[in-house]
Amino acid sequence: MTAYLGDKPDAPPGTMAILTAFVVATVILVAVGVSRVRDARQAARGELLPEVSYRHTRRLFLVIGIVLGGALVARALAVPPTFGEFGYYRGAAVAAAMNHTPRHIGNEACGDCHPDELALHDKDAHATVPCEDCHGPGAEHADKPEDVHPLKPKTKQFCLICHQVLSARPGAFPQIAWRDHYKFVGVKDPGTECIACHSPHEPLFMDRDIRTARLHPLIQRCRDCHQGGMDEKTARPANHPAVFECNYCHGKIVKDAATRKHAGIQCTTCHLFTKVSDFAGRIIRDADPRFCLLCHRRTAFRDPKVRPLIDWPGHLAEVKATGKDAEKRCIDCHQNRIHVVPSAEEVSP
Amino acid sequence: MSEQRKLSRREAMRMLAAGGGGLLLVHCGPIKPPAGQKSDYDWTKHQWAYAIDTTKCIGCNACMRACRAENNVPKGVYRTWVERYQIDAEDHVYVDSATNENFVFAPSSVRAVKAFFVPKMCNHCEKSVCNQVCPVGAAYHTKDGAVLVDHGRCIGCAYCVQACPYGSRFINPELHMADKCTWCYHRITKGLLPACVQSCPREARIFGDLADPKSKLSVILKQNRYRVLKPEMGTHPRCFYLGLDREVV
Repeated sequence: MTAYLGDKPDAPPGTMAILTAFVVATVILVAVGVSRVRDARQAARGELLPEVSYRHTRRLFLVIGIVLGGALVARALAVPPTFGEFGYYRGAAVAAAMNHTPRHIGNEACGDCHPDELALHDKDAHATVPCEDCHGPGAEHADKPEDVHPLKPKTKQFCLICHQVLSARPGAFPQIAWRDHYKFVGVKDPGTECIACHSPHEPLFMDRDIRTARLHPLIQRCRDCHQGGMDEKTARPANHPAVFECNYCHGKIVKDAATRKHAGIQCTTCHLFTKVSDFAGRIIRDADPRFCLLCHRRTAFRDPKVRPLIDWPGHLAEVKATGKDAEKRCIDCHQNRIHVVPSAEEVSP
Repeated sequence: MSEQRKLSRREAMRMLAAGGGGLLLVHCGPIKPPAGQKSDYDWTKHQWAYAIDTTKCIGCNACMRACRAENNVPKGVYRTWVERYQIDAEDHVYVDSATNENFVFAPSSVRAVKAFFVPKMCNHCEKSVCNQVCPVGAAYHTKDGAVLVDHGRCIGCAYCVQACPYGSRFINPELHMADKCTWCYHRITKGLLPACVQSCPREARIFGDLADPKSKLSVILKQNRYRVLKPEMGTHPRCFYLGLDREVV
């Protein structure tokens, strides 16, 4: 690609040639002028002014003039006209560097035509992943939407570019050992792609924006509770946990959950918790109807005996849900399978 | 015929000196205002700089793919790249980059006790070495802080490639000229972010204006601990690293 060349041709070097001729003329005129002024001063002082002959120096000045003039003309031809405009470089190069057309147009431009996709994308875990990271640069597609189509990567390998387990990746970043993950969720066919379950635009079916999710205090440091310091000699009571589990504060709910259908499930499987700082973490998921579907949706690859699988949205017709009922969340009907609905005090003890 | 006075050598030299002085006066014309471009962008009002938070980088190399697409970077050369540092229990340091077709890091066999990614690129040094060695004035520094290559001027001698202490320059195999990161100068002068910054899904790459004390970059540099690469080279890089390990060079 020679995209850089010919962006803005230089102006013809005429101005520099005129300037050069002017400079040469100045050199000669100044020299003659200096000589005359000196002679005039000598005459004013009454000194005997001998008749001066310059004839023997004529050749010297001629040769110097030709050499100097030739050098300046050669320089004018060799140096581009905008050289030195801003510094020791060609000024036109700056305009050339600015003149390329951007190929990446940004999420907002994508959202002009695809607002629904962008709205879904902006509230889920991939909110910070730009559209063009997966779909490729969008300028050509935006210019000719019918002719140029963006990339639509569908392979597991593409997802693993970011999510493959690598020791160098930050620990908090979700990394998938996909064989283990398939085994865990009961996917038999290793050829199954990630997007069979996870929509790339809303991979975790989050109910709310991760950035506005509820902040949960981390209770793991002594001074969070023992304000004003402690006596180091004090022995830790036997019932004092080293790490505060969910049931320390939410014991009633945890105890209740153990009696329900989801007894084997960790709290954090649904109430996904990410540590934000040393002081707080976020609960980034409340019960969204589609979040339940992440496990319970009937798909081709799942073993039908594993767990109750739901046809969605066929289930709505099955229970004759209409109007407001159709907007209900799974837990509005099925809360009893999970745990008791906590009161406000129990949520924030 | 009266006595003739010949022009002495000293007088002739004086004349030449006066002529040379006049020439110098003519040559040094007034300095033109800098905003000679056709857009309304005023490069005297910005001081661009770059920050890289190495603790956030996940090594997805979206930046490399975006840079290649945005700037037509040929295969085999890189304007930006991501290095993976892996340090094992015996303090051996292993560094590699993903240079395969789609820039994908493969799982490593190194039993690392400490591992992290470090994105690298041109540091756009305030006192850049590459500019100083260019024999034809094809390497230059814009008034807003970018170090650029004039592809209408470069002769491909590669002095700058040798001079850069960060290995940020290369000879473009298609242009046969020196090439390097431009901070996407065609984007930042239109109010856009560089392609690598815009493509970063973890906001590990931050670009902004030091001239604006409220810009994201200025705030980050005020509030965080950072360092630059090879400060002992005296190049004064405009690329600031957050959370950089001592092993990184």
